[in-house]
Formats: sequence, C-alpha cells, structure tokens
Amino acid sequence: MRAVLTAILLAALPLTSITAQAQSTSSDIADAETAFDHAIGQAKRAVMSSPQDALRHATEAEALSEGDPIRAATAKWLQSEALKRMHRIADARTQVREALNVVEQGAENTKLHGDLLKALAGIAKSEGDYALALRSLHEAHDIYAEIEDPRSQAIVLQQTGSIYIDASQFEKAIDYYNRAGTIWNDDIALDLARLNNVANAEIELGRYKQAVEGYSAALAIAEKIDATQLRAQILTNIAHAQIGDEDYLTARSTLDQARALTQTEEGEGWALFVDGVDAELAFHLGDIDQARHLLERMFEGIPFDETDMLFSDFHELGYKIYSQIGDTDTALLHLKAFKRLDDEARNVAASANTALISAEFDFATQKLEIANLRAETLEQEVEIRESQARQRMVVFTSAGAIALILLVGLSASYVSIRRSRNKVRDANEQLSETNVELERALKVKSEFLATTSHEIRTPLNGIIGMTEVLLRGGKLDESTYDRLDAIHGSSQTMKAIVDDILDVSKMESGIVTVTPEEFALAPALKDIERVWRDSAANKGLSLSLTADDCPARITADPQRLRQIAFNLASNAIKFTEAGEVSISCHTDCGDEADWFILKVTDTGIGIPEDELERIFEPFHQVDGGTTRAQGGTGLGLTICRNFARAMGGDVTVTSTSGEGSEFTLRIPVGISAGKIGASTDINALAIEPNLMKQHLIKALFKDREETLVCCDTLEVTQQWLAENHPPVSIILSASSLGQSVGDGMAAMMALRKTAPETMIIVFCDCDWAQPPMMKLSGANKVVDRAFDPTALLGALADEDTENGVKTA
Amino acid sequence: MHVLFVDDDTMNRRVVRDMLEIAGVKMDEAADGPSGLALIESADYALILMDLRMPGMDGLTAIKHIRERNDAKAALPILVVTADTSLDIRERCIANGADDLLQKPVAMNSLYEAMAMTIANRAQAKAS
Repeated sequence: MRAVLTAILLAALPLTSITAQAQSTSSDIADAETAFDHAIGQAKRAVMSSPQDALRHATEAEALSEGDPIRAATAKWLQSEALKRMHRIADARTQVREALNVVEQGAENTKLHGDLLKALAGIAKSEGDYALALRSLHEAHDIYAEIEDPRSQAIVLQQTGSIYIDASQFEKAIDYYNRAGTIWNDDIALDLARLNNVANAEIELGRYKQAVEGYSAALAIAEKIDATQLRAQILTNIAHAQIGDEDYLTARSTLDQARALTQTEEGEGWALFVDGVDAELAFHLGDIDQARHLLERMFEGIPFDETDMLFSDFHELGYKIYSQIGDTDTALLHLKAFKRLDDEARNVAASANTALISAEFDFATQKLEIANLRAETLEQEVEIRESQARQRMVVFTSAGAIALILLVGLSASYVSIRRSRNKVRDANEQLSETNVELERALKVKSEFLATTSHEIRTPLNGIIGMTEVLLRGGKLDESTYDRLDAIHGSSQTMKAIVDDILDVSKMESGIVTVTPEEFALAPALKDIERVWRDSAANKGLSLSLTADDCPARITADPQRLRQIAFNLASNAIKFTEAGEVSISCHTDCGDEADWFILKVTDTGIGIPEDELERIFEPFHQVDGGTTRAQGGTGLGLTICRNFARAMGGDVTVTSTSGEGSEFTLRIPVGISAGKIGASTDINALAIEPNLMKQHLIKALFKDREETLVCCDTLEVTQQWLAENHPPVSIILSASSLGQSVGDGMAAMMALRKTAPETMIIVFCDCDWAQPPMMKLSGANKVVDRAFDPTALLGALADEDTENGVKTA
Repeated sequence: MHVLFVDDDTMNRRVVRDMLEIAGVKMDEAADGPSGLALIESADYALILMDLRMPGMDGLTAIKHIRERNDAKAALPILVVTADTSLDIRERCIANGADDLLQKPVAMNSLYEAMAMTIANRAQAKAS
C-alpha cells in the first residue's frame, strides 16, 4: 500500500534535513562572528520553523556579503531553501542557479557546491524533472565523496532511492538505501527513514515478512525519539504488511496499538489512515459491513476528486467493498478517483523511468570507459616496467664490470619473468571479467529478443489484422484484392520469421514445452492442405493429402504438430519446381507406444547424401545460393527436429539428389477410438448469418457426437438439403426465415416438409416470431429469446422432455 | 453480442473492433484497466478481451478484480490477447483467472474461434 508509505517518506525526510542543517549550523558559526555570519546563522535556524524569517535573514546576509561571491552564494542557497518551503519553487530555482554559477567557477569542490546541487535536485524532483534531479544527485554524491562527507553522501543516496521508488523500481531502490546505510549509520533520523522506506519497497515486492522486520526496527527508533505520529504511521504500515502476510490476528493487535496513539493530540491526524487499514483488515476477514463503516468514516468530509496519492489504495479498496455490496454508484466513484490517482502515479513513474533509463545508459558508458581506462593503465604499467628495466640496464652497464653485466642479465630476466606473471594474472582477471560480461550479454540478448518480438508483434497485429479485415469485409476489385493478398502473404511470412527466431532462442536456453491434448485430426490436416494448396498451384505443383488409416482424434501437442507439418510442407513446395508434393499420414500401434507418422514427399531438387544431417543445423541450407533465392531463416528444420524430439519422436529424411526428398515425422501419440471420416453424415445443421454465432455453435458442438454444418442463409440451407440427407437436428433463428409472420411460417413449413424427421430448434429473435406460431408451423422446440449458448445447450440437453424450453 | 476489449494500444483496438464488426459483434473499448472495470459495472458483456501489458493497472490485476466480484459478472468469460511470448504466460494467465489466451498478431479466424470457445466452455461449465 503505497499511500501510507509515502506519508512516512515525506514525514521522515524533512526530519533528516533538519538534523543536517542544525549540525552544519553549529559547526559553522564558530568564533569571530561577523554580521554576515550572524545573519546566515539566523537564516539557517529559521529555515524549518519559519521560512519567511529565514528568507529575510538570508537576504540581509546577501547584502552583507561585501562582494565576496562565495558568501553571496551561501546566502542565495539559504534563500532558495526558504523559498522552496514557501512553495515559491520558480524563485527558489533561480537562486540556486545563480549560486551554482558562482560556485562552479571555484577550482575546488566544496560542501556548499554539493548542498546547492542537492537543493537543485529537490526542486527538480518536485517539478517532475527527474533527469535533472538524478544528474544533480550524482554530481552532489561525487562531491561529497571527494570532500569525505559520508553523511551527506548517504542523504543523497537515499534521495536517489526515492526516485527509484517513484519509478516503481523497488529492487534498485533497496540497493540505494542499503548503500546509504553502509556509508553512514550514525544518525537515527536517517536510519529511521531508510529502514521504513526499504520496508515500503519490500511490501511492493510482496516480501511482507522482511517488511515487518524493517518497520519494527524503524519503530524502535521512533519510540526512542518519542515521535507519536511517526509511531502511529509505522504501526499502520506494519499492520498493512501483516495483512499482506495473512497474519490477521497480529495485524489486529498492531492496529489497536496504532489506534491508541491516534487518541493523543499529536497522533490524531493519522486516525483516518488507521481507519483505512482497519477497513482493509475487515475486508480480508470478510466483514464487509465493518469494512464499509470504517472506510466511510475515513472518507468523511473528504471530496473524492480532491484526494491525493495517500488515498489511492483506499479508493481501490472502496471499489472492491462497494461493488461487493452492490452499491455500484459509490464503487464507481471510488474507481474513478483511483483511476485519477493511478494516472498521476503512472505519469510520475513514466518520467522517472525515462530519466533512470538514460542515467543507467550513462552508467553503462561509464563502465565501458572504466574498462578502457583500466586497459590503458595496464599498457602504461607495462611500459613503465619496461623503461625501468632499461634504466637498470643503463645503471648496471655504466658500472662497466663484466661480472656486473652477468648480474644485469639475471636481473633483467627476473623483471621479465615477473612481468609475464603479471600479464598472465591480468589476462586471467580480464578473462573472468569477460565471462561475467558474456553471461550478462547472453541474458541481455534473450531479453532483447523477447522485447523485440513483443514490439514487432504489436504493429504486425495492425498490418495482418487490417489486411484481413479488408480482404474479408469489403467489396474489392480483383487487382486490389491480389495486392492486398500479397501484403497478407508477406506479413504472414514475417510473422513466421519472428516466431522462428523466438523459438530458436528458447531452444538455445534449453526450454521447449509440449502440451498434449486430444484433438480432431481431420480439421488440422485440412487446414495444412488449405494453406498450402494455393502456393503449390501457383508453382504448377499438385498437392495431395491422404489420411485414410488415421483415427478421428489423437492426443498430442496440436500446436507443435501443426508447426512441424507446416514447416515440412512449406519446405517441400519451396524446393520443388515441378511434379507433386504429397502429405500422407498413418498410425502404427506398437507394444510400448502408438505412433503417428506424417510423411511429406516431394519431387524437388533433393539433398546430397553428405548434407542429409547438416540440413537440421540452424541457418543451414544446402546451396548457399538458394538461401537468397528461396528466402527464409534456415531455422525451420532445426525447429521441427527439436519439437519432434521434445515430443519423444524425431524428424528424419531420405533423399535422392535431383529426384526428390521424403521427410518423416514420427511421434508417440494417444489414439482415440473411431476412424477418420467414418461418419460422413451430417447430424446437425445451423442456419446462422452471424459469423461469430456460427463459431459459437461450432464450439458448442465440439464435444458432441454430431457433426455440424453451418449455413449462412435459408437459400443455402435449402440447396444443401436438396443435395444431402436431412440432418438429425436443425438450429435456427427465426429472423433467418423471413421478415414477416407469413414468410416465416411458410419457410418453416417448407423446412419441415423437406426434413420430416428432423428436430427443429428455433430461437425467437424478432418481433413477429411468436412461439405458438413457430410450433404450429413445425418447430419441435421454441426458445423464446435470441440465440445464446446457454439456451442452445438447454434445448439440446432436453431432447425428450420440454423442460426449460418454452413450448406453445 | 456485446464484448469489451481492454488494450492501451489504439491500433490493436481498432483492428479487433473492425474484425468483430464483420462478425456482427459490437465491441466497447477501454484503454486501461480501471476504465475497463468501470465499463463492466454498467454493461452486460458476453466476453472480455484483455491485454496484459498496460501502463498502471496491468491486465492480470484487472482480471483479479473481476474474479473477486460477488455477483454473476465474476464468472465473465475472459480471453487474454497479448504479444507476450514468455513460456509460462498461458499458465500465469490461467492461474490468475483468465479462461484462455490468444497470441498477437491476431488472425481473424483464430480470434472468432478463441472467443467462441471461451464463451462455449463457460456456458458448458455452467450447464453441467
């Protein structure tokens, strides 16, 4: 729950800055106090309690600076701190900028420079300029590090952490807070802020137990400094974490402690948030009435459209509570307020994130620079050593003694041995660094591929989708249709390539999933034939499909099977210039498993014997030249084999160069009774013009014994009935029969005459259609409402009784 | 038939709306989770199409809100439509209360089929 947490953040941080300023104040006003120092001292003391006075003193101080630019800058800094607290942000920024201009001219980094940058960061953050805030914090941090002021360094690190919180990057935020704690842990106010804020982040990450621990440590500090409202706030946070951890009993007693603190004058401002978390607890315990009562009390007198981030989660809770008790209006009000705050938070997170991304990019560049620098230093060291060795040579030779020349030789070789040892050690270090970097690079690569795939899919969705809409929805002339069809084909190919690359990347990581399910074989095979028939015909090839000896349904991974069959068919057509491509399948029932075998045979260019295994390697095609001529990623067969093996089977190939190839897929499957195409009679017929409803009826019939045909119109139905045996049942909407009672009844009677034994189910979806008339004209079952899945299921289930279905 | 599509991408919404128009399905649209939840309060949808990656409240959270309801709308058929290709994405969606998942880019027929299947499965579960 971010709301409560932010409150602590805001409450705790100013506290730290009070301490910060108070300390620097006491050390600065030492001996020999001038009028200027006196004014500065007064300004510093007044900053928190009375910014107006502070501004006055700081302005006096500027007048007393006697042309000393650093003194003037100090006065300006205090003016800006006062102005910021008076909410005159633009003026505050001007003062900081002017002071910074002066300070930056100085040769040495000073605490004042760091403080000014820290002040600028605060102003920038409050204006939403996260990029500037981060930059200023980094600079301030480096300055504090240089002048060895770890306390200020820790404050700056905490502030950086709070920007990561704004950006919802909680792990990184925790990192920064922890670094702050490592650098400086000698200040209880800073520790309290750090512990509480880390716990906030833990909650966001769902680590409630750690959060409770962190809050408890913060609470101990708050108790030590006897800060009643802070204690109430932290206790509320603890209760919230305990609710998250489903430890409702402890949460109850924590909340009671928090509530006791809000009975005091100092803590009463927090009472409404105790109510809020109390409502949350009641909601989780299923006591909706109590939850509503508490939430109502919390929001008493607070207009929903003026709430701030503190209330965001309580609006979400409100939405849940009120929609559960059916008070839709209030639920919607809460939802609207939640959305407004959610949008605000999102904007903040977005701009914070943008700033962080560019800042992190800077870090990455810096890292690279460091690596380069290190390499340069290494080279320089080697050079220095070499020149040292040379110098020694010079020294020794100048001694001029032969015996000494011998010594020189020894010492030179000693140096060179040591040098090469150093080189080996350095090389090893570099190697292990390179390995770590490589590992990281691999991880980055797969993340990059996943993101790219996501980002490519989104516009591809627009291209493929809109092309389909145009192809299917509009009246197009032939040439426009052909061109659109070409776009459609290209976009499908592009989609296949994106899929291939992603599949191979997943395989590289060693992850292939197989999800077996029972499915009907015939539609899957027909689909393959349908997709490739045109491509084959365009090349003058014939494409045949034989599946006579197959079961009607098998259990395997339909997606993977389809993908393999598609790839094999696509390859066969791609590499065949004349003749035919045939797809055939059968099953082979063995002792240990039943196998499904699919063969794709072509009369194409074939594959030389020494290439037969290599074609399954990634990016490999037999003739380098054909890669360009035939297109494709060269990944298809790699993917096929990997999937087949993941399913417990394999893809193999036999081929005669110049005559053709035969690819065989063999996978173990579960076989269901019943042969493919055994029952060719249509048992059910639906008249339904609406495409979506056709799909719905098909989906409802998926698990039924009957096979179903859908007809768009009455005319198509009549034609179908003239050519086929009457079905067992007909499902139709009255509106498809005609526009008036007369037409409708006549059409129904005609249907009845054509199919005397058929069960006719009719949905009365238009004004003229009344159940008695439908019955009279020959319908068996009449549903007195428009088609919907439940009504159809009811009508089909009640074949003998008339229950649940309105009759005449 | 009346459905709702929650997706932050204008183009995605446009494509699906046009596809559904051909199939005679009316589509309401929302650009984020909270707006989608608000629409569900006020209308009766046959199905919710839900994107996953959205700024602010993500799709899975929105689904969770729907499933936590106390009325009949808690059982609304929900079909996730996403460009996310993570290995465990389907499992994660179903574990979070989605009925099924459809991968972007969306082809017309698979959209109709997936929608029909999702509605039919809910209806069948209700009937049995």
